[in-house]
Amino acid sequence: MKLPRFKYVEPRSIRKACEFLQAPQDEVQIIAGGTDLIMALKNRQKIPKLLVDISGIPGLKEIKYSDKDGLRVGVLATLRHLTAHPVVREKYPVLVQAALSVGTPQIRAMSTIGGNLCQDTCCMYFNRSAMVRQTLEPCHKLGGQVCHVVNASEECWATYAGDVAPALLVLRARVKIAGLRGEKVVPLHELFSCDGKRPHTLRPGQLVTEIQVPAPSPSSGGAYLKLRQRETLDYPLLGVAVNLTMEGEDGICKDASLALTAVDKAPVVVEEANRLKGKKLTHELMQDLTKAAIKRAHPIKDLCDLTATYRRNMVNVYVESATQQALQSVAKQFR
Amino acid sequence: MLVRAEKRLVRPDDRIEEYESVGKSPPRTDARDKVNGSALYMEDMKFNGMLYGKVFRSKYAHARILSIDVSRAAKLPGVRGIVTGRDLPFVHGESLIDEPFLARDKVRYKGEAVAVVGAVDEEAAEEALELISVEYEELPPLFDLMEAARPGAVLIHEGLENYPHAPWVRPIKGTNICNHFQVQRGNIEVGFAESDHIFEDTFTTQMQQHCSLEPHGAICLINSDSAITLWANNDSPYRCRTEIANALKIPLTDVRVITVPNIGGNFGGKGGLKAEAAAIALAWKVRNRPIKIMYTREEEFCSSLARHPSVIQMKTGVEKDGTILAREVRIYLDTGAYAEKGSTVSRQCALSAAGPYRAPNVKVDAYCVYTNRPVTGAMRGYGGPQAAWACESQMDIIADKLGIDPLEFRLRHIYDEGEVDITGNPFDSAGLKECLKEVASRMEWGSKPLGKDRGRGIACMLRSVKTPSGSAAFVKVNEDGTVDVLSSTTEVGQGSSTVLRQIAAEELGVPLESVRKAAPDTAFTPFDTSTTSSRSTFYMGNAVKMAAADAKEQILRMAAQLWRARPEHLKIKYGKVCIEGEPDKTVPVAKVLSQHCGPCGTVLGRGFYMPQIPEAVESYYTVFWLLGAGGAEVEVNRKTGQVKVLKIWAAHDAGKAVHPVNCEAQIQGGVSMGLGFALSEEIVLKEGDVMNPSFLSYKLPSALDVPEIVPIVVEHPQADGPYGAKGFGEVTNVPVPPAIANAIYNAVGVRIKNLPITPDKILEALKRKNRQRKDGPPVPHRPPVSSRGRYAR
Repeated sequence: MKLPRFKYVEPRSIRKACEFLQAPQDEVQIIAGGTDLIMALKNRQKIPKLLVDISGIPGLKEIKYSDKDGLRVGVLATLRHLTAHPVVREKYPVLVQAALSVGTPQIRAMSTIGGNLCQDTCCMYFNRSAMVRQTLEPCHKLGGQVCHVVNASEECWATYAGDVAPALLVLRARVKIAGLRGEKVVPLHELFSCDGKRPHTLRPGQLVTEIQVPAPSPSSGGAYLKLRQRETLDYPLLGVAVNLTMEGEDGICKDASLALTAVDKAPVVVEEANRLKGKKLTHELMQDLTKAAIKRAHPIKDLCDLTATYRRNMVNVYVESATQQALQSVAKQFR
Repeated sequence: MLVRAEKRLVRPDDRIEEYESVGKSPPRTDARDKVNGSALYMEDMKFNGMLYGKVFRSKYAHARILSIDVSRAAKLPGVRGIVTGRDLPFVHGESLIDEPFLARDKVRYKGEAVAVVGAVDEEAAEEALELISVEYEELPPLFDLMEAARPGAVLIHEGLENYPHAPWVRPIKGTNICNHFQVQRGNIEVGFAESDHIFEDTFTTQMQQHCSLEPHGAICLINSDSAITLWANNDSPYRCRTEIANALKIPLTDVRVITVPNIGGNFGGKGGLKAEAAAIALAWKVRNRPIKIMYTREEEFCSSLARHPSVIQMKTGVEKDGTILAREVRIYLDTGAYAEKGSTVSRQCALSAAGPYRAPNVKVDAYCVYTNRPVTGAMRGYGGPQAAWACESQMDIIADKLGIDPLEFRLRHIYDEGEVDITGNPFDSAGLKECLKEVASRMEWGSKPLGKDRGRGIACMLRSVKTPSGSAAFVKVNEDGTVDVLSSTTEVGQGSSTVLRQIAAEELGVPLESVRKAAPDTAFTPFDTSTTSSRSTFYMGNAVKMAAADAKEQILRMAAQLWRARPEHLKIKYGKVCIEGEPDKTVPVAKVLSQHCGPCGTVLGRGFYMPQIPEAVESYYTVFWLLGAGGAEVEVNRKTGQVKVLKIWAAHDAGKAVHPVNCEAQIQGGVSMGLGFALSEEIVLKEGDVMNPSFLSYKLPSALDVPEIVPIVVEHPQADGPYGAKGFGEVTNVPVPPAIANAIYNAVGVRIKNLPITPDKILEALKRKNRQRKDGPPVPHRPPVSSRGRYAR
């Protein structure tokens, strides 16, 4: 299908952008890389009256690092630039792995880190064009009253399937949000609403401008593993991010974090990873952690590929492998 | 990337004749334009005053149309016309005439064309679609193939028995079965009674889509006298012309079909009337304006064509030593809402179902069944992939139970040279045996195991070719000695333009560079049945060769007159006429023409090839068999059920490879298509609704998913083929899925019978196997066979 009609503006400042974004949320959409939005527009998943193109706002593409402030990534930095950045590659393997697993090289060259974090939730009933969807009643996400996945559900269960969010969550990232009344910096998880219909907490007039990641401890390492059917292009059917900080090579865990994606309406932080702190990583502890992860994973049959049961069964395997790979990544620091 | 075969097989008799063009691999005719982006496709075609058409589609799978209101849409600025089924009482079809141009009284699947809007731009046409309203009365839909095949099921086509059809199509009155094809030899009752073991398995395959990069498209112009000109990316302009003329009840000369120079992928999908039907429908109403319709990717998935999903029940009876005595196959093919090429597909599937194997008693029944699902039809290897999936999987099941090596088991049963096959005709099996042996030796079959959770698998294939059918060609030698090949074979990416040029150049004795292949146009290029079924190199190749020989003869006669020599002492080499024994006396072809006719020098050679059906043969289904074998090496992850295909070997018999590199490329492409069919591709349907109509959600393998492929081009000459060549390219996908499934069984001991083999199915099967092991006594991987027993699963 062709694009719907809309108005288009290109603000040159954050403030101007926020002014445009004050309209009710259904009526205005931000566009940067456009890799998700253009498809959503053509499919009429979104029919905004106004597109606010923020790609011309100066200063939002930068990637900076200092030991004091850690990593600061402007919201418009593309995934290609992020994954090519030498410091990011050296210090944040989990972030690089996650970002490299997104789409294809062409998509990563266009898509921004902000766009990836703020990507919409997906569902096989929703992610089709209006013409194909007409066979079914409009669902919650399209302003209707039904859910085609969970019978008689009063809410939307669409899945959040961003790859970058879980990696940033295990790195304890924060996001800077600009608004007309000034800026605020909040932990990344606060950006997600866990509402399939409207997965983000941004209010009218607000815009994410920067992602801040603390400097890593010297003996830390991480890994991101993604379940999908092909080696490229696909959204995750399950994504597991792990970050570990260890003391000595076979030593005590100083810090551990685990996050999942594509198993719920928002990326899931498995808080139970905190229990590993100060302990030696035994088989039993790891088993407890995978059990906790499985408990928090709620994949449902809203994606075409593979069964929900299978995706749930894989949490176990993927958490275990990701932890092993994170440990190997830590071990590299000691060499 | 092209992986070259390590060595090409050269047979002693081939060395005798040294060819100039045939057997070489010159750059393809279309390569440069395709690489630099200047090749012309349907999308590039535009005319002044052209309207853009968009199709309004049904949202019900089975419903009666009570009323259609287009009044609001018609008033939209930019809209120039709207047509519905009521304006157009025409029905079309390939061998069974069942499909209206636009739905008339009933819709039979979600996504069926109900109306077409023509507007000055696509935006206006799309907007107008939203203003059309249709009142339906829902009817009970049928989504399940076996349910639909049952007697007493709701009828999707009430008047099936009254539909006109080709004489060999047998619809069953009062059912949804639009064709029942049966082939049998011997007596299966006797065969099964004499068997020591009987194996019964049911195999299923899914709905696969062609995924041609270029979607269906057409431009139609109909003038006030109802003369139709159609520009389309249709693979078979003559069949298209016949289908249109028959449907509209007008003379053939009133229909002109022009195929675009390049079709961006076909794989069997561009055969019938798809975008063509919609464009014709609107042009029938809105006269004297070209109307263009290009399908969207979603329309490709939901409303164009796909591969028949199948349920195949295989029963095989064998003696203690494994000798096959009887085989009974029941094939159910889901043809969707309309037959399309379903009748042919079911016939081809039945002929392949028992495999290339000797079985004294065989009975195959194929049922082509209507359902309220998207229409399926011809797709690469049609009938072949379904048949090979069932047959080749069961061959391994039998070999495993009886403790026979799968390679040996196959070699023992492949027909001997000249042995009577399932069709009652002598089978030419040498090429197949060679394919299988080549694959086995290159993959080191029978050598030491590959290691933990790794396995090897092999599979064979055979498929018939469209028979009888005919091809005509003109070879036009121009004043300057250059040559035009006028043939209606379409270039769909398979390389036919290059191959036909090579054959013409070879026969005429002119350099390849001086030969051009014209794009098909029914007003100028002569008749050809179709560009399908791997028939072009053989049928059209023969026609072009005959036309070139005819042209050559004329030129030589002219030269003979000029030189007062005998024509049989003359020949053409490198574009020059020369006399035997006088190497210095040569004259360029152009000069012979100009000396003979002055500035009007031209020669037109004619060729028509249609094989004679042998006398006293009651059923003649194929002039040759497409033959091949494949091998796969896989590794299975027991924790995740994921299969990694490590390497694939594929050997196919080309008869004679006219363009060896192109043959290898055909293998590369076919294997990746077979890989997708084996592991990931599936149109997911819920209540007849396509859930994954995009390249993001439909899992076509990417370049990263395709393993190393070893293409092996076997050349066992086809006696009546041009230079010994026969069909090759189409079926290179066929052996891949069973070879992979057999390799998975070899690796971890689980047998998957339902395609695609997704990791969840493997994991489930592994769990079931472990449970069985815990519950009962350990089952040996290959049990010795002692007493008379029955294996029924």
